[in-house]
Amino acid sequence: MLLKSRPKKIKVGLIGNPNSGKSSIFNLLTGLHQKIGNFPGVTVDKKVGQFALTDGSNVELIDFPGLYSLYPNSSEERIVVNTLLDTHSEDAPDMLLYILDVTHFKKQMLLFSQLLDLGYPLVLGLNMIDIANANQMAIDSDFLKKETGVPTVALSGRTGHGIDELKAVLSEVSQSPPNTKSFYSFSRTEKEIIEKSQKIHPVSSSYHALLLAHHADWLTFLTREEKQAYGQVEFPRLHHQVEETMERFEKISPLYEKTVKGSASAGNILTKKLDRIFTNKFVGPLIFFFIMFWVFQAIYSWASYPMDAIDSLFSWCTDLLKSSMPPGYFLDFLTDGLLAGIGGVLIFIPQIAILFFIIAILEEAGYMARVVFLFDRIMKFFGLNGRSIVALISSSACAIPAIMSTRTITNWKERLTTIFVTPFMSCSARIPVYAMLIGFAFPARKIWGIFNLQGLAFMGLYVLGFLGAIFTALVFKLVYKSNQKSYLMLELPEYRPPVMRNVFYTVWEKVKTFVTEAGKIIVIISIVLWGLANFGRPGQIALAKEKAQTEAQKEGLSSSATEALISSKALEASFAGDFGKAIEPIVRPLGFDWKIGIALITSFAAREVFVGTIATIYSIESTEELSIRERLAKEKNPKTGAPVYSVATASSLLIFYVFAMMCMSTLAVVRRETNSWKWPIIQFLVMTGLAYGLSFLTYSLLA
Amino acid sequence: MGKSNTQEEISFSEGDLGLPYTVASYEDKKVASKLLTMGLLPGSPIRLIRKSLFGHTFYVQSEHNFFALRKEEAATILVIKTIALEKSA
Repeated sequence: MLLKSRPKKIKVGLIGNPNSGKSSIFNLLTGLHQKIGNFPGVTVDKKVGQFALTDGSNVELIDFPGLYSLYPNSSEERIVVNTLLDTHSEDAPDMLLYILDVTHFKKQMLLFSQLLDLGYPLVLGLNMIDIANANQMAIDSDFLKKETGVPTVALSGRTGHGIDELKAVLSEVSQSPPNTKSFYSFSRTEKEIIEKSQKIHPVSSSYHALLLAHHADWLTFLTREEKQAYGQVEFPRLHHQVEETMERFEKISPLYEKTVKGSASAGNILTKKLDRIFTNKFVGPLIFFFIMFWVFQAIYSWASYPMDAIDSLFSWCTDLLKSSMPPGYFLDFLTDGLLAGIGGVLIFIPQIAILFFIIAILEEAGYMARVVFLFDRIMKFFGLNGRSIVALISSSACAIPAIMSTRTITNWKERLTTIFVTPFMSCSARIPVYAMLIGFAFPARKIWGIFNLQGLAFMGLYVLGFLGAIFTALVFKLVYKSNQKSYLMLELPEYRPPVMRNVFYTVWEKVKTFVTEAGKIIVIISIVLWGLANFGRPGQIALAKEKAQTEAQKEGLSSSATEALISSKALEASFAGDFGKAIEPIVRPLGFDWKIGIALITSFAAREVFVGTIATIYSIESTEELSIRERLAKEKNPKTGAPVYSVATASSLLIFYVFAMMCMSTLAVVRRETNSWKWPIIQFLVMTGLAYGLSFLTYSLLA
Repeated sequence: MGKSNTQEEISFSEGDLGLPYTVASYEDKKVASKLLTMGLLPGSPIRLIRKSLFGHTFYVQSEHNFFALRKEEAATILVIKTIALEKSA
């Protein structure tokens, strides 16, 4: 673990307990020079940032997931330990920066003392010094430094205090790591185990060797032979962990008493008082639903202004291109394929930004842990996590930010279940479809004199989506076996005013990830869909257009009606039209004809496209929902003369839209979040299969 | 792995709301491993502050730290009543 002399690039690992304020320090050090990746082979965020030291060397700062000790309990924590113990890993840092919340000094010293024994060059950041000062706490960092040999810096992630000093100390330690003292004294059995371990997989520190023996089962870098050899070593693991932890705390206690005078009791008392309300068994859930109602309102209504602006910007660009370029496929490709695709990505940004703005504030303030406390039980019953409720509710605005918000769920199965069922919730893109169809399925009349039947039906569709979500979760819980047992055991941090800088970075990171990762896929699929709707078998589209032209002339249609008829016939002759006709036998049992079939395919770009496609296919000049509805009401089945949009067909179509996975953007985000195509494909099949079955049932019962 | 104690050990999930207890030992390895790392050691004070709506989730305090535990998890923590009249924070 020796450093090269005068390194140009230093890899520093940022380590700390959850809630130690680690990410504040990360943001202060690296600013916008951060990148999100995954640790090899797993879907755990790896945040890496860059910054320069005064001596000119460049630091690559790796923000490891928060953990409490080197005896990990979750898969996220295991990654940290695996990386630290694997000194040949590409992520293995040259040195560590440990961030400790001084108001929780004693508890957070445990991991520090373990890192000290592990042997990495260390720098200790004493964070939250502003809160300590405000509480008249005194921290004797010189004493701490003398006792441990580790350079310490007093920091504040909120005010930025100590950041320059931290950089200077990092630079010093990177050039000449100080001699540190070992913390823990090994027992005789431990010494024997260490000796055996060193023969199997030699490492530079005894504690490192001990940890290898302890964790050999799941460490990824050990060979099979090494694991077998470790299997022979007798090791009462838990007993040892208890003894070690107890002894460490026995040494930490006197160190704590000499280093820290006073305590930050004000925040503690305030937290207790606030929690009497926020975690009250009756008032707590009510407050939460009030907050979520407000979140929903925010995503739904605030986002509409920037979304309209983005929409107008893109139609302005489209118009500009159309007026300045000769018409043809290339122009069509630019405007209806590429620009529409990019617009389709950017349109989600306001919703993502607003949701994460609010979530980050709630998370920073410490409220989200309370949500888990309140809803853990009920969510657990359905195989979900207390935090899943946030994803489910916000997905009634849009599933994309909701799915991205599941990153805070550390149990993989619970997170996957949440991702899997979230798109069942009726998102805002379904509203235009519901609005257009509901009139065909339900008459506009009052029930019991007060309730509007159509309004009730609208709500019923939302409830159906919610039921779809939780019952699918229940099935998922029973079908998908995982040996990762679920635990709660969650720290409830003190309430603190959010650091707005961190909120901003969270929003920025989420938006950036969405645009760069999911955005690519969305643009590609948009272009493919455009191709399907604009190309057909050779000559077919031209022929169809010609026929439409003659027909229009014969009937003496106006120019706009002629144009509408031409695009309708052209769409019919395209590959999308072929597809619609090809799937007609499949969708006929649901009461759909090939025209609806085409709309099902194009609405994969976004559900609301259904309305526009229906307008095109029926050559309706207006895209206003009401006028489309009037026109559709007149549509008759050519063979039977019965209306196409009967109660049965409209109901079946509504049910289909509640359950079917009809959104490529969601699939792209699911791919990104699960790091494989497996889950989005299964999700597509399950949701669409369920939609098909239920629509079939609906149509059969009503027709 | 618990130390023998003259006082009666009870499961923390059977304990009374608001009364001070001391952690004696753990019955479940996983729970023990996690709570140890969070600083809840044998000998630590522990107090049940409140329960969630149907009583399945516990809001717990130990010194300056607050935790949420499931009832099943709390059931594996063996505690003894703290007799000393010290006031905890």
